[in-house]
Amino acid sequence: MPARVPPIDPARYTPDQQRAAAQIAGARGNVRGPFTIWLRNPKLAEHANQLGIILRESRYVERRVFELVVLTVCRANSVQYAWSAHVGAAETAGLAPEVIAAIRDNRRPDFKRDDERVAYDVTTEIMQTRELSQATYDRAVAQFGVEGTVDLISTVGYYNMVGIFLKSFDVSTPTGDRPLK
Amino acid sequence: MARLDPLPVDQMSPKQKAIHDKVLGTRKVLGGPFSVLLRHPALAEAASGVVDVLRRDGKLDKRLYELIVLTVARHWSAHYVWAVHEPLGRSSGLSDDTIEAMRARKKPTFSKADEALVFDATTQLMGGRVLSQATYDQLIKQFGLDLTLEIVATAGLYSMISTVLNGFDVPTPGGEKTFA
Repeated sequence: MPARVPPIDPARYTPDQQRAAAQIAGARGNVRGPFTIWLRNPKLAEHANQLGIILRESRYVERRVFELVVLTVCRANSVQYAWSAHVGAAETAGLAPEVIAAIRDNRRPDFKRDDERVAYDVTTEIMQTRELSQATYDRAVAQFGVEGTVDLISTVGYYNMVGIFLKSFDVSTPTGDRPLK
Repeated sequence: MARLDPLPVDQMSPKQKAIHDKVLGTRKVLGGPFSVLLRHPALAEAASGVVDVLRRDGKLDKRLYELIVLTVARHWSAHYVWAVHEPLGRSSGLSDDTIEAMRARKKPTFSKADEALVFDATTQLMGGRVLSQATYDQLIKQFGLDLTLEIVATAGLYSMISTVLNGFDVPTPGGEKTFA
């Protein structure tokens, strides 16, 4: 099945696309997945890239916890591409393979770390109920502070946006596999 | 009562104040999602950039833009978004019947084909599904790729905004709930 929207040949980039692509590749090492399509609107690509990088580099939410949130949102929405793009980074950041496998299989992980447990509970509650109880919110603030809670919940929101975009264009994983059943 | 009160201007750091003023721009007040995001100024700035690209600079008909926004707001029961955008939906040309049907979570009876198509696409995406090939093809045929990109990016953007608003239980400007 060919892609709904093929990547633009870099030789044909407009100046705006060249600038956006350089920023994206500089921060991520490549231009792929949603960014190949966002590039059709270079300003959108630029701001969406910045938003993702700012969240990934949060001062208050460790990369390990960030990747846990990303995988949890991808699982809830069955976003195949973003799962495959993040699973390696999650392992590198120190998320336990058992935790990753449990999320993939829709089981609640047996967490060894409090920050992971709180982040997972916040994310699953938002994904399941589309709201957040005061009790869970209070746990988030106790664990991550107000600033960290802003970053955490914004990460849930950002990957909701990314997932909707990927599903609109039915972006497949690099190998075409479907890691999320 | 808000979970997170907006920072008073006189208590902002210089960076927060600079970004507050920049993001405020043409807006009357920096409310809703930005009252939360400003706690992390760089985040507020980047999110504001995405909003500007789609809302201020986008080429999509405002009537369709507001239809997407209200559809997403209803899916999330995002009271703040609904309260702000319901009047904008009316003034951009959405009918009262369409708005009331959405509020009641009923499928509106559309008299305009573009509204029916955009509503159908947004509803599929809110349901967590891959956009069907038939709907995707109709979007491309009706709007072309650039506007299709704006349509789905708008659905994504307001999903992100609704996530933040509901995560922080941000009250509407008048404090009222806009639906049960």
